[in-house]
Amino acid sequence: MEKNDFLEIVKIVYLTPENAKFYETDNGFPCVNAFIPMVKKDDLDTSSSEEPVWQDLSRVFFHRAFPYDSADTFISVTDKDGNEYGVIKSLGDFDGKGRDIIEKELKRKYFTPVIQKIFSLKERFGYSYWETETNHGRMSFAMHDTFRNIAKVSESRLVLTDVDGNRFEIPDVMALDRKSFRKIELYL
Amino acid sequence: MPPKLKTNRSLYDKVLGRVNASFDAEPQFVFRYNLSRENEYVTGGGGVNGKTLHICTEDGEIKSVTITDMDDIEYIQYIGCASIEYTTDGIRHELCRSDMKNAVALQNTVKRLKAVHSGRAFGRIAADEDDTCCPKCGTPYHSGSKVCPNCANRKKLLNKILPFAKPYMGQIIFSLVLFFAVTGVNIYAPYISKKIIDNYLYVKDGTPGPDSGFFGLIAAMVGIALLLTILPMMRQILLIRVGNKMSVNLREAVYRKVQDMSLAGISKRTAGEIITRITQDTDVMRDFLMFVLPDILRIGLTFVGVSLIMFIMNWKLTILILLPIPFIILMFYFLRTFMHSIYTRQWHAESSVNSLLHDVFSGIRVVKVFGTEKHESKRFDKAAKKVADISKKNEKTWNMIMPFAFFLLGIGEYAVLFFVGNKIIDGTMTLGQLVMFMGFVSLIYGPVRQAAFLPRQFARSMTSMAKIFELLDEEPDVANASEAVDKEIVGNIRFNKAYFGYNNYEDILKNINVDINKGEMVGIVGRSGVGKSTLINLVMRLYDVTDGSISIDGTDLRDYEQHCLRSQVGVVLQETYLFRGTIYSNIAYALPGCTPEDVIRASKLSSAHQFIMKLPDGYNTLVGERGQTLSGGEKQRIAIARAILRNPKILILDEATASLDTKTEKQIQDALNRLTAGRTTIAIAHRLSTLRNATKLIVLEKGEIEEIGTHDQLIANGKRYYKLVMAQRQMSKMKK
Repeated sequence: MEKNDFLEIVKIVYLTPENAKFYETDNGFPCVNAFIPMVKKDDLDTSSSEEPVWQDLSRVFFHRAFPYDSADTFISVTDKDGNEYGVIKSLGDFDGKGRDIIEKELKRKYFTPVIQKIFSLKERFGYSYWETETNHGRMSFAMHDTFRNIAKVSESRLVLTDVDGNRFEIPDVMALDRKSFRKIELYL
Repeated sequence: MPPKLKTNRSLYDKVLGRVNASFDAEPQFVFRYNLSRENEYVTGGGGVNGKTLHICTEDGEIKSVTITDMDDIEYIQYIGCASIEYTTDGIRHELCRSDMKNAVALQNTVKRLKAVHSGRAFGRIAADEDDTCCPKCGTPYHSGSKVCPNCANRKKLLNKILPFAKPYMGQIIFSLVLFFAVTGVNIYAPYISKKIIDNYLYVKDGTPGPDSGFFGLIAAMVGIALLLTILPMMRQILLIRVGNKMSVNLREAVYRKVQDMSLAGISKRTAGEIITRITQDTDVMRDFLMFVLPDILRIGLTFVGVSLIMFIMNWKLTILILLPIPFIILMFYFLRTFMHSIYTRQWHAESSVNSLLHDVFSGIRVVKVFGTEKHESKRFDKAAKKVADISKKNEKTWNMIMPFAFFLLGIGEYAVLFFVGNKIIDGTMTLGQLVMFMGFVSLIYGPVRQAAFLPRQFARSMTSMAKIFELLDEEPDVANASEAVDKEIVGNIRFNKAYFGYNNYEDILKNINVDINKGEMVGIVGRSGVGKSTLINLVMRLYDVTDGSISIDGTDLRDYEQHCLRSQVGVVLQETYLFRGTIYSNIAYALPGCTPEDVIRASKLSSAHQFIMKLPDGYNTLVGERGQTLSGGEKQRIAIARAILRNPKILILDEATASLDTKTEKQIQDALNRLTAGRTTIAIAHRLSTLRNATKLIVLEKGEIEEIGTHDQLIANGKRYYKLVMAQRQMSKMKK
């Protein structure tokens, strides 16, 4: 395919081990020292310099661009309000301490117990009641409008959202044991 | 009944017990959390007493924090979990973390911690205040509701419906009598059959009875058949009438209640939820009154009556007949659940085909433009084939199972045939008795299929009833003061240390102090989401301030009679909502009882008259849903006419001219200028040029007043307002 000139107009600021040094505060919050164009602190700031400089951005937050398809690529690094500093193209670019920090924070941000077994699943008046075994132990939860709250992110992968907004994942519904599968089959 | 969910209540009680014990006095509020910093499950709890916060897990140490040292307390929403963070001595800490089960509780905790931090006082808060599910059984509350469908006290609920039944007591009692009558007649019918057979048709020994008796019996049969046609008909008509009336009354009560509620009470629930309660829940109630309750009565009465009579006649046979019934009920219950599950699959598949079609045809332009027709038709083929497969399978299952089920339903008759047949051969029983018992069997077995589902329907009705009465019992939170003031407003508004937040953990407006004098025009400036509209909502008292006060002419807003206040405040919003009806009725909406002359004058004043008269139907033009579509500027002028008609003492303009082109804006500005003269006006505008007449400008930033003063003063200040003006000037230059 020929090169898409259109998309060349926009540049993505990639954070790599060379231009981004991640570190942690004593309380374990991720921070970064980065060599990127000067970050504007105020929306009324009209200066516009593309020249990268080293700057301490202190606390940063991570957000996955493709949480389902490809969790470890294109991870946005943002400030508290979600303004993007830059993008980590692949977690694999990093190793050692930097990678530990990012992985730890991602684990803290995305909390999605994985359902391994369904003991019981009952439906009453639009609510369904689940009793499951997850990688965080036995969990029971309730779902409303069940069919709609089971997202089929791929042919076999499901993400369930319960009444409180908790998420549960079934990475491969076909890999569930027969009994469990029979219970959830109705909603597929 | 919904299955119980594990709540770990006792573990939390233990932790909270530890927290409670660590204070000298009972804490003002407590909260629960359930994740460690690394997102592993723990059982954690915390409590606050005075300015001290104690927090611990089931076996960890109790940590103590002084709340006044906690700065920037924040609720942080992650994905599937949430946490509270704070700063002390410039160092950021995480206080606790939880999955979404306690998210609301954490939000409220943050709000309360902030209140303690800023020295605002509040009373003790109940421990179950933040629960989103029933503490007893873990059943989630339905959204916007706090009654557990599982634990709701049914007796109490039935007592609540009684006042609604009262006006119809006579009719209800009459229909009850009809119930007994129908059941009695029903039971009597097989007995007559027996007499006809034994005394006349198949007489074993002796002579048949007199002819007149025979005709009498036939006449009785006809009479019974007639009664069984007429009585249930009367009963059902009566019930439908009563049920409908009661449900209408209930609906009206709910509707009135919703109208009376404050905006805060209404916005707690989505419009959909409220509509559901007004329509669906009251419908379920009507069905309950009209069908479920009568069914319960009918089936119950018949069952008890027939069993009793059979028992007296032949108790052995009765037991034989009744024995299979529980099993048949169970069978039908499971059968129905099973069929429900297979048909649900079919229904889901069908609806996914429908939504696929809807998707493709709504986006047909996109499909055509990108040339993806083939791809789309493949997608459709696949979905359609799936539906066909499922429905084929289901029909097969249905046709294989149902004949067997009906066969089993006949099992009682075979039992009677066997038992009584033997006795007839013995000569101890007669053919008439056989026919009679067969009749009884069909009376009992007939409703068995329905009986399997009565408990479920009953529970469903109770849930709806609980939801309706929860709403009806709710106390309005923007209540009229006990001695509400009803007086003419002059127009001096004062904000005194006013705080407000819609959601629980964030103050939208903080420490607002401002005086607005009669006749002043005040402009509110700031970026979107900064709290401008909230500020004016507070003036209209759509919400009450959470702290501090707002007063008009020295009287606290909360002391005004709500109607008195709102009738003297006029509003023009950016988005004008026109109700279904004529232009005339839409303008006159503001002042019921006004004359056509008033309306025309108001329209002239707002420059609306001109365009209205260009419409073929003039003031009688239908607008709103299905009516004539008016442009933004036209709607806006109608809204202004509405406001003028009211002759308000205080006028509020929320982006009244934002979505208009320059010429229309000029017209409307002129109309507005006529309106604002001599009145206290609060105006919000993005285009700063609209505010050039303002006597005072308030610049809001992050919920606080950043700058306040006249245009010249603020320009001289050279801060945010100055920068905003400069930025807008540049933009308009570019446009030129």
